[in-house]
Amino acid sequence: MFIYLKSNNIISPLGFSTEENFTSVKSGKTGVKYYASDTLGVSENFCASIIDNELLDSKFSLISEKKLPKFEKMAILSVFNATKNTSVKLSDKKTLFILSTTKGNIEYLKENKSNSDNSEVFLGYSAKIIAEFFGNTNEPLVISNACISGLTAAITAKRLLKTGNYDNIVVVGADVVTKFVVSGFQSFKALSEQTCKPFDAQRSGLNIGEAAATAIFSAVKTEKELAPGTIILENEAITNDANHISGPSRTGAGLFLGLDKILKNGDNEISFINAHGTATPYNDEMEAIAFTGAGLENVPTNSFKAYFGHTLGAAGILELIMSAVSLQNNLLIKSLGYEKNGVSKPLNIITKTQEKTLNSCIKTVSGFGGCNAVGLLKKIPD
Amino acid sequence: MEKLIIELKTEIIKVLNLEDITIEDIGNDDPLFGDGLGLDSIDALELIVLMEKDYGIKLKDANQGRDIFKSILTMAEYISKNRTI
Amino acid sequence: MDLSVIKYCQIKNNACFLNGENIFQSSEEKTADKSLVELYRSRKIKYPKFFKMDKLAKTGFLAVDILLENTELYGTEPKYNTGIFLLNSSASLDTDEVYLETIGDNYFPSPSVFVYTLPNIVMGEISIRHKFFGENIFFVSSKKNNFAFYDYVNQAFIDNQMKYAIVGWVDYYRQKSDALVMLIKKQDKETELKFEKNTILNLYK
Repeated sequence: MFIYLKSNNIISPLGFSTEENFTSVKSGKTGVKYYASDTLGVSENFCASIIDNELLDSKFSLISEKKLPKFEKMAILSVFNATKNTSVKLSDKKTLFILSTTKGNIEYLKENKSNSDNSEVFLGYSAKIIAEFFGNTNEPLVISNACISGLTAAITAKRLLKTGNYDNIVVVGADVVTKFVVSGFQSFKALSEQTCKPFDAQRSGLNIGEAAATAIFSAVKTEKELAPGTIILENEAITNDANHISGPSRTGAGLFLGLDKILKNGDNEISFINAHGTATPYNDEMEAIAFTGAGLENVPTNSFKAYFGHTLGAAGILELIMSAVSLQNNLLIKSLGYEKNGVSKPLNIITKTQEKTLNSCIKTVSGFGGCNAVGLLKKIPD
Repeated sequence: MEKLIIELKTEIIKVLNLEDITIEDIGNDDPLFGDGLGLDSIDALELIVLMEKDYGIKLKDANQGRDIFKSILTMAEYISKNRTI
Repeated sequence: MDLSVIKYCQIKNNACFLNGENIFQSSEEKTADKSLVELYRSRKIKYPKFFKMDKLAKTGFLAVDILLENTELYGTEPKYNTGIFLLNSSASLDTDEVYLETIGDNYFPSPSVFVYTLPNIVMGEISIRHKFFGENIFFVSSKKNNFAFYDYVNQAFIDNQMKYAIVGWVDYYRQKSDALVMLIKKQDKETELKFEKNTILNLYK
């Protein structure tokens, strides 16, 4: 059985469609901007990629008059845009919604005083609002697996489609930039006050980004049923470092295990790797060690974090879509922010956006809790 | 100094949830990380919060903590020199 | 593929049940978090990191530790192919509320609280304790019998050729701990307790 990407959408400061986002990235634009600490009421200034509220409201008002939090508006608009030109019936019994998020509506969290009601912050509540907006009555599934949520949700979609119980799975990943998350990453000394520089010698931390991304997956029995250029999720792995709950493994063991698993079977001609590349000192170093261990150090590699920031629950799905579109356009995308090698095992970081025949790529993500996910995307040849 | 050392030990046990450890168990020169008290990177970050909250000392870079948090004694020395509250 | 439940362990507020049998009961007046510490002590577990965990992680850690006692999975021998698939309704909301207090008027964001504002950290803790390098996913749903969760576990078993998986419900919100975890494997005999769509609900006490 082949699991393929049927339709998709990205909403970010770089655009409200995948095309707009891809065009922006091609021209080297970034959504990351500098914000003073009082923008969110945190203690230090920061850089982040934030969607303009007015623009979002005006786009959302075209499809609904509902008053909803930003998180749900972004997610709904993304699903809506992803299904514009498809035949996918979102209200169908055999369509399932998977929401990938770390913090959902966290900006509305109230302190636990005299039984304050936080029911709107439950992730299952948000998932239902999103699914029911499209008339879907199946109990949605939420995946909240730190920074690997998005790719994990895509892998979950693949597994569920293989059971034959579903026709289409709508994976929507979203997170918003909040005081909650920015203060937390600042307490971890993990945020950079500049646009992040993945794998670079001068990297000093990550930027948080907000985005919603939707990937609709479906299955066919034979490859022949798929049009040339279609992207399939060929292989996948999820692993744990079993080492530390916040620090990436110094040996890259968990990520290596995942890479090793997907490279074991099938032909291993990989056109590029889209790394997690958060630009924290430890993450990028860990990835360099794991990629080198898996014999991938010469494969062209990039990170999208300097374009979008780290979009948390959306990251895995947003970056999977961007990688898929790169494959379809035969375009290696420059790893923005990179100038000089800053990891102990040098990688082949893409320094210039360039045309090249591309057939397959690896997408990786790693996160708190010691989790890693790896996906192998393949393009149906012409 | 002795007062500060006891205050620090008490506070560290509390904020780092070092259950079953008493202030007598922590020697002034014992390494806080690695083989000593076995603290980890999150504990180090929490100590940075403690420095700011209790003594008004702001450490911007987590790496600064490395020398300061070697032992209770090095911490106490740094605090007595740099405290603002 | 048919899967069967080898063992199951439930922690509900102040009591713990192993395969349905009450093995621990603390006094009614005790708060749920104090009762978790009492349960930890009663099992004679030596793991100081337990006290650093948030209440969700403490709940899941204990339920799984008790579940795995006397099995080949217990201990630090590396295990590469055991899945951990957990589900709950409140994600990490209990700790989210604790963290929120650290960023209010008295603004000192706590990194050791923030790290637990992700529900999957409980699986990280379990993986570190027993050296599980395999697949783990934290699902959230308002329902204990989420059918997609069940479908996922089944397919993951086939795809990963797993021998065992630890699956179940692990929740903690506002002084209520609520966990039911199961050790499951491929079915050998029809007489074994079957892992089905409603198993989590059916085993609930």
